[in-house]
Amino acid sequence: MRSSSLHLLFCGVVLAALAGCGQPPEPIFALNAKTAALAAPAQKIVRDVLHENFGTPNNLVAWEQFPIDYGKADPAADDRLRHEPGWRLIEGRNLYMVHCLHCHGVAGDGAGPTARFLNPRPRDYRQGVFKFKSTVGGSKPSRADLQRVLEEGIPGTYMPSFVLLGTEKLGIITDYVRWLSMRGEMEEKVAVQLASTGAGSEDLQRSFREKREEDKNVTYEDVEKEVLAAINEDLAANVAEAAQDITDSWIAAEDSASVIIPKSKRPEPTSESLARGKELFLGTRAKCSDCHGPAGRGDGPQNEAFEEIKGSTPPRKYDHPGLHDVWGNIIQPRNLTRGVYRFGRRPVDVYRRLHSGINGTPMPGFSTALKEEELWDVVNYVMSLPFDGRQSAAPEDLATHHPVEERPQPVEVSER
Amino acid sequence: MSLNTSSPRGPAWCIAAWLAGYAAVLGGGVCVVLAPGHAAHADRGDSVVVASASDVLRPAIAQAAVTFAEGGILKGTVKFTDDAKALKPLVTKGDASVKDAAVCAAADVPDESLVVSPDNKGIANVFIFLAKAPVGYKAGKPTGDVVFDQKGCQFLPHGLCVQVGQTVKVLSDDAVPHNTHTFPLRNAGFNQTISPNDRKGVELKYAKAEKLPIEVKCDFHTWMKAYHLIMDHPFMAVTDASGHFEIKGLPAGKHEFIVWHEKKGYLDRKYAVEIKAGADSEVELKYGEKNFASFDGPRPRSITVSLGN
Repeated sequence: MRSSSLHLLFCGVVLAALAGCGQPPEPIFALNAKTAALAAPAQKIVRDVLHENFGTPNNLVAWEQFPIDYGKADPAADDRLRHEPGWRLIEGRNLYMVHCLHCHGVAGDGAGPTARFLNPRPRDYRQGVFKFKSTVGGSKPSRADLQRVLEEGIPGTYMPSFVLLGTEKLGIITDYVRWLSMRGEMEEKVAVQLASTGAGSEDLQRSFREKREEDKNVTYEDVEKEVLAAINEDLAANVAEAAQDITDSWIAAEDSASVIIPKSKRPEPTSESLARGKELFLGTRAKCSDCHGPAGRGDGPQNEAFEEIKGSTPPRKYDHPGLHDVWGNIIQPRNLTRGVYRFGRRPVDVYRRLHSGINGTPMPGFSTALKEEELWDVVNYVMSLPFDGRQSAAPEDLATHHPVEERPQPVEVSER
Repeated sequence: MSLNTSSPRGPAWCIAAWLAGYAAVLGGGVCVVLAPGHAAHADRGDSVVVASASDVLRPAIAQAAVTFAEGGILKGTVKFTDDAKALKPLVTKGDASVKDAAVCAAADVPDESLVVSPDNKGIANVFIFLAKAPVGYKAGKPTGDVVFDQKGCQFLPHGLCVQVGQTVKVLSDDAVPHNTHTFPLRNAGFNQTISPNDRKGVELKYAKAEKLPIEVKCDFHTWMKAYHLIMDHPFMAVTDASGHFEIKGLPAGKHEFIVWHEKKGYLDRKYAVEIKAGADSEVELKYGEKNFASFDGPRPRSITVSLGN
């Protein structure tokens, strides 16, 4: 009796195990919200463009025009994968699926299974907007910038360092991420183009209702056909133009001229420099304190303003106060008293944030408003904030007795 | 799903019919196809193009036979056919609760989402432009800079037409810093602080033409907003306070203009006008409340299905 019930139990366990061994679902590149808001036939156009030029996660298509090293065939390599062209993209995909997917999602949409539990959210690459980079203005990050994020992680977030994978593998992942970003941008650009042609499902229904008021015999299909004809007339040119724009912007980021390099060396953080930096931080010329707060805790009054939702027609406001990034997340200006700097703690890293702002966020660049020396003064002041208590006691001591390289490491303290 | 390329699962041929000449890759369930450059490289003679490039690149207007020098002028007025409601100012004069009240609340900051002139009911800030330059138009170097100023925490002008390569001088006449933050689709973004009372100006240039006017905002003062229209030709205009606009040098023939306003988006996707050589054409565009109406509440959860016949 006892043995037969054990036997049954065993059979049950085996059956249950087998049931879970079917083929897992095939991974797909999910559509973005802008594509999803289009009418079904327009959605299909976007899907077809993407499928033709980028393929599916299991059947990747490498678009030669893009500035990505897809990997040349190397028949002599030990690794069989490298015998065929495009192996870097495949290996990038494989590594991405293992190490990155669970936060950043299959399509790089920042919506992997873990993403919903994270704050800040993992980056959604599909807009081609990256916050942490060394390049000027609104340009794209360079390969080196992205690889540095992989190597060092992003302090203060869930992004860890992947330095143990080695430089070659990180380079391969970097290119795959760039490819995902280009794919996402392509989708976004085509979807926006179709929406502006009137192919949004709401737009289409509205124009159908309007036309029906004038002529009872108009059918929805007529209206749809008209819009689709207008789309197809321009589609090839629009796709080519979007691809060219994407290519140009990523190539420009690799140009050494687009890297922000200060002409002068950082001045010593003397008490005069700190005082000048403080005046700029609090004063009316730079007004850093509007967002970052008078004490640099990231609690400035701008956090209380109601922002408009970008790109909303007619313009609508968020129903809650606060600063927002282009992904629609509410964001807090950095608390500068904690000494945690997302893209590196070297003074030049902070200088670059000040020089060109942070893409995708309200943080503007100050290179147009402040001179280089003034930017350095603000850098010095901002980097002294974690040590504020000591500084206010004896700022001269701090400046003279601890040159910046030898200063104690900032200690992570709980906020307020 | 096959993520592991080292364990083949039987042959998986991936052949794309449109990729003649490019070998599809046989491998352990994965396949990379090298796609040739797209329609942009017509000289490569590839067969990938979705539609013939020569068809789609031709602007949808009649061929212009005359030279641009003897072109016609399009003059017009955009008018509101209903009674316009007075809009509440975004910032009321003397409101001390407003940010930087000393500068921003020195005078009313008007709501410019729909400005209708009380005199002739003309609508301001309507963009009228050609989607593409007429056939035969050769882009010359744009002459002169355009000025984009800020005074009393308001962008001046609210609507600005810029040509590709033209310099926009961003000035400030306020004693507080502003930032000029653009949200373009094709150009690189621009988000730079403008010093208080900067009369020399910061230079802003656009490298590419946009399809529609783009938003320009100031994050210091969230109500501040303007629109820039960037085109690679000069055939564009924005209406003034009394709804007037003028576009010069148009070649004779039929043209289709886009009429766009920030509150609604497209007012007309293809407004057809016939231009005669060396003559002025006068038009009056009329739009009512109905044309500007849009749903301004929370997004509906359900969608309306086709009403059928």
